[in-house]
Amino acid sequence: MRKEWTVNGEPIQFEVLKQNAKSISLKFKEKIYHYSLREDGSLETDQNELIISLRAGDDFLIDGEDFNLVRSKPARLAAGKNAQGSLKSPMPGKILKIFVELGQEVDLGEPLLVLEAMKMEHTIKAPIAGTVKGLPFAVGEQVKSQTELIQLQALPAKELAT
Amino acid sequence: MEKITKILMANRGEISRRVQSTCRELGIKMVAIYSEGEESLPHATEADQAFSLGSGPLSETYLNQKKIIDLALKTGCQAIHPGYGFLSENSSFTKACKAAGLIFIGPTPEVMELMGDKQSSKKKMEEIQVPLIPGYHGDRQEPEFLKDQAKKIGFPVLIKASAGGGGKGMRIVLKEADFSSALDGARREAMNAFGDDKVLIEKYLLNPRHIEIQVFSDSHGNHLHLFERECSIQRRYQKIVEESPSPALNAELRQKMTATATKITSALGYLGAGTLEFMLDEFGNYYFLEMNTRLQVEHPVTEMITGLDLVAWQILVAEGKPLPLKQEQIMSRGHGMEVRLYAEDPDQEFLPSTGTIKAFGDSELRDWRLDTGYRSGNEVSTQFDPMIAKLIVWGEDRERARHKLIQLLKQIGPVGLVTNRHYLARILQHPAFIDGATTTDFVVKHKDSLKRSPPTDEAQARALALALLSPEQKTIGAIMNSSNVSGAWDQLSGFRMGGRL
Repeated sequence: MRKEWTVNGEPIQFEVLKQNAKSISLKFKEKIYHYSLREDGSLETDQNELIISLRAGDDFLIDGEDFNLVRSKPARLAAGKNAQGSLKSPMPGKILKIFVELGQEVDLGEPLLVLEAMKMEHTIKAPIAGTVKGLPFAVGEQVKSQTELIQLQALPAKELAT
Repeated sequence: MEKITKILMANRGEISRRVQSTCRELGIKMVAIYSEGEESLPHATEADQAFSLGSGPLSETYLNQKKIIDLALKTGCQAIHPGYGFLSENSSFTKACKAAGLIFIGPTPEVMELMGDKQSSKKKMEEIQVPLIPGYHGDRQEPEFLKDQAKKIGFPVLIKASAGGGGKGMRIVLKEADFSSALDGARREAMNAFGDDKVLIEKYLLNPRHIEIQVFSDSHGNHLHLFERECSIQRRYQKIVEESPSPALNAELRQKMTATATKITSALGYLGAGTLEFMLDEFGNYYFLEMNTRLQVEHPVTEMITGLDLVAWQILVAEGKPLPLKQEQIMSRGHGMEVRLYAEDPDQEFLPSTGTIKAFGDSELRDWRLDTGYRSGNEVSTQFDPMIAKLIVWGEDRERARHKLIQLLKQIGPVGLVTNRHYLARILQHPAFIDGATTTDFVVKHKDSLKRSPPTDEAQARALALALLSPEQKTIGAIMNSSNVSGAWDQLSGFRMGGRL
């Protein structure tokens, strides 16, 4: 049975070849894997090797790697959000410096502003090349978490190509 | 002196629980404090009594001296334990405790003031001939004057906030041209963090290590040391991996550094637990950095190698009793290692993360501790320090301790909240760390080789398999419940008994 899931925000496809209550065979990126469950709920390979596994809901910790799994395709491509260049504050803080002006064109990775939070300075950089379309805050203002700090409009594709 | 039977813990999180744990063993009652929204955190729920300090800025809660002292008096406590951070190095609080007839578990306010100020502490060290890093520690603060001093010391130099700590208001300046803008940045951060933008300038040492000596003094003139901890692995001046013994010290250097440490505590007439921090260069020269006049975050490393309970010793000293051991009776055995788990995302420039700790895992291994202020199910916000837990191990030697810690990071997690867990594992597995090439610039120097590589296809296949085989929305694996968390501490008690008897 073919499935399309979302792993750590990325769409992936795989195929379940065989499954019962305790074991599974699946095909992922042209390779076939066989696993089974131990009594305590940890996973083991077909060579009976233990894989250290923890699970809480959709969050998994498997042999030291973190995974978040959603049993469906991504609702919307994450790239769509980035293309708009919306930049949200990662945490509550104060705007310390603004390096750009309205209408200014910025390159990918260019510093846009400095947010002070938890007494440390964090530089917010441009996730895309674009034009500054909105600057809702001034230096010294307090912002909450997940507040839009700056609006960037992506540069037209042909300009990017040059 | 009076016997202490009830203590108010003027702190929160893991250090509150740590002190409560020892007090429970000693039959001492504990009063905990918390701020609004922290009612369900274990430091509040596990105490004999817990009181809310209300809401608002820290000055209204954990830094509100009057509220805390009034509460201690009202609940019949004889003493206040400050933990680390908050009021632990605030001499006016120490004085206020004394004035209210309460024992402050820590040194005298005079010593705290002397050692708390970077300039006065350095003056004292000069007096008693303890080596200092070349630098300017004076009162003159004009930018041009400071720049001249920097030139005199020779680049690279370090600009530091006089009142500082924790890396705030610090800048490394590699060349003269960068000095002015670095000075501005350091001052701005210092003013915001400490309300004081006074700075000092020091020579920046190449390939230095951070070596600190745990000291303990009583009121009977005994000034002991409990060996070193190496805390060179730091990120933005925050320690993240700590260990003892240090791979950089031989017996002779250890002897010299610990002797310097007890020379300092004797000269100060110190009281209680303290830490003397030194920078060690590659030639075996060491320089006094600062003294922390309190219990340190990384104190469990020392407890692991000595088998001693440092909180119990703090209480003994506060009661006016002599320390129970002589210097030659204190042994360092095996290797202790600690990592600090932070709620931050190493793959997103270490931005603080928030969310729910869905589960801590458990482990069948021996001789380890998880010191945390959280339980499975607790929310982590950005309101307080992002350190959510410390994982500490003991091993027969450094390699065994290291392997155990890597295994535990896989088993304990936690799951559900983004942390620096994987980054810590990458450090522990790095060839330079294995070689003991642990200098303070470790994470910068190895920035590229510490980057995360994307999970392999096989790892993803395992996650998919587990998702399909285990019931949806269920917590599975060896999950720790709250009683297991304190169980990890009991385990150390067992080790302690085993080591002593």
